[in-house]
Amino acid sequence: MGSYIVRRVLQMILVVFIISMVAFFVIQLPPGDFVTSYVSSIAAGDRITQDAILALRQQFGLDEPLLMQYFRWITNVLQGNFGLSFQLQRTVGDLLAERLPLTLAITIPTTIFVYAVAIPIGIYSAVKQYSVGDYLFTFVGFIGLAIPNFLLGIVLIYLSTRYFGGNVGGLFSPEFENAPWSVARVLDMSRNMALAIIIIGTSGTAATMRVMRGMLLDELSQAYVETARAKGLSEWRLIMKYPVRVAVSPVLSTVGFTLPAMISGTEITATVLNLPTTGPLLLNAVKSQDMFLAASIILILSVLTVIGTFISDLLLVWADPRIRL
Amino acid sequence: MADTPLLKVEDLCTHYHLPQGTVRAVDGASLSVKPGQTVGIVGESGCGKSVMLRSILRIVPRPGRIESGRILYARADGQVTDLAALDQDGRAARAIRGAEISMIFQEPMTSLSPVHTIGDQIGEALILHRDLSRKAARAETVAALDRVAMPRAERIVDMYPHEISGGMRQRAMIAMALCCGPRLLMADEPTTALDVTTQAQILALMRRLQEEDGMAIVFVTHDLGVVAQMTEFVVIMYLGRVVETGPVRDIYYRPKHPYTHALLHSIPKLGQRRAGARLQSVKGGLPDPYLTMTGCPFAPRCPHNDGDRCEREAPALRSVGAAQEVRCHYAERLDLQGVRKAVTA
Repeated sequence: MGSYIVRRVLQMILVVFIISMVAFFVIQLPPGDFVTSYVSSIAAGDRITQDAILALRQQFGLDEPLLMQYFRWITNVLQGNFGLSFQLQRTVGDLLAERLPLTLAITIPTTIFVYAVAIPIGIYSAVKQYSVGDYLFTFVGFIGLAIPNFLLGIVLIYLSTRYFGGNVGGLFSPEFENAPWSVARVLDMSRNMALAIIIIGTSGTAATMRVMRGMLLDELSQAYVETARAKGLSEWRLIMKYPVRVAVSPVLSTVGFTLPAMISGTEITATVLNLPTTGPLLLNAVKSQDMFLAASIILILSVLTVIGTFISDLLLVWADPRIRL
Repeated sequence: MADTPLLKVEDLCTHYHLPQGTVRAVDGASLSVKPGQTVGIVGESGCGKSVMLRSILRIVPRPGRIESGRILYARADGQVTDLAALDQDGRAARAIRGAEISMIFQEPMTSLSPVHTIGDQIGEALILHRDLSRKAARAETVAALDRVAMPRAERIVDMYPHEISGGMRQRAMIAMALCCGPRLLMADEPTTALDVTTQAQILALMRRLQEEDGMAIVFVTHDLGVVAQMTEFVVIMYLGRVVETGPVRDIYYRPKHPYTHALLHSIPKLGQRRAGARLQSVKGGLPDPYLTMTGCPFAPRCPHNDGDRCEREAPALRSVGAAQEVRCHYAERLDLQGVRKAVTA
């Protein structure tokens, strides 16, 4: 076990290093750079001289070869300095410090929400296959899968503002927007967050629910379930102990992918909901070729993915003794 | 005393109601097992023998249901319970299931949970039925594994099924079935999935344990050799019905039903090819399970079908000879050959 973990950690470092390189270069692939897009965005009124453009490039270090830029960036990153966001004229570190905690504050409860809702429903649907409840959850599940999250977001925001007096998007009601932290502000945030969690988590819940149902249906007809039944165990007890235990491990193994998917996969939803998470930040950074910001976010996402995969692998080993290290 | 049956199944019907129609998996089968007796149930795949066992244990998988009939089981205190009338998942059925009546399954590879240790799976029954603590259950489990001659029981108890061989898994299954001291053990083709030497070991083990414990065994198989070796009394099933029953000698040497005869003569014999005789198989296949039959269910495959009464009238199970019963109109007249004569020929 110990040597496995060490081996995996070394692999993870290598993978993250490669991803950081790919991320950095991919962002440079579109023609032009930040200065080009900056100039074109302000070009309407003022005329910018060629000298000024050159000066800007020099200031941002964009005139150096790509490899040099990368190495300067990555050495800084290793020292905890993520560079400067050209567009926002703030350090990437500052921006992330502002956005990441809120992102995690939404993502982690959403992940818990997804599994806490999907697994019990999946179990119920499989055990009571073709019952009214199963059909109902299947119906709701397909709707959840088919409706894009952002559309669901718009509908729910409409309903909540129209009928429940909620506010339009954002994580805080206007009166708490810039207020200092207090109990009331936390309550206000959790209320808005609940909506966000439901919106962001719906499609994941629907998918996980279907996977759990399918996996468990396969297991329910296995011979070992009959053996357990022949022992005289009560039906629910044996279902929870045997087939659910076997069926849940592939579902658990997806936990690792959910984390980054929630963070990066919610740009549009977060934009619609006006959530101050990293999603919209990344979207903007990529659009304006704000390369240090974009590359840093991608780097952090990939670190999360790699760590998440590692955690789910460990979970699988714990859940299924047939998997050997 | 010895004549009061431990288990008496009367006209059991277990049907599967499927969208395509009703499958009469068990269709009016009867069976009687005395305390300590070994009864073999023989028949082709799909004749309802496994469903019969599951009906007795009340673990028929959905959509199967016991439609009618009685399963009278004499409990240790002498009280007779109709298992068929109990709630399948109810407390009463579960108190008997696994404790007084237990079962060994066909596939030791898949009949044990892959993600729980052997000890966990056996000990669970002890904790459930005998109210043992975890620690006591573990000690009992090791003892139970020792009884089935499991090598290194102390270590096996903490192992997972995938870490031990098929024969050992079947030993673990037997230990699991016997750990609560059942009065009736049902074995559903327990050696079919094992190789021949392992099969012999497992059969010898079951015989030894039966002598020690005095439990009754219902042994389901399609292997007539195993039946001859293991049982005293044989029940031949065809399409959910009992077509012939009797002491093992009578059935083998003086079969009265054409189906029994056909089964006995479909066993390959040494020297058969040289003698110019061909291996006889039972003619034809099983009919469409959704069909309801009038007449004798075996008639379409029977070489003695008279084309009239056999097709019109379903024969009843009736006595022929001292202990033999048969479901054929012409049982006495056919003069069917048993195995011994066939071998010496």
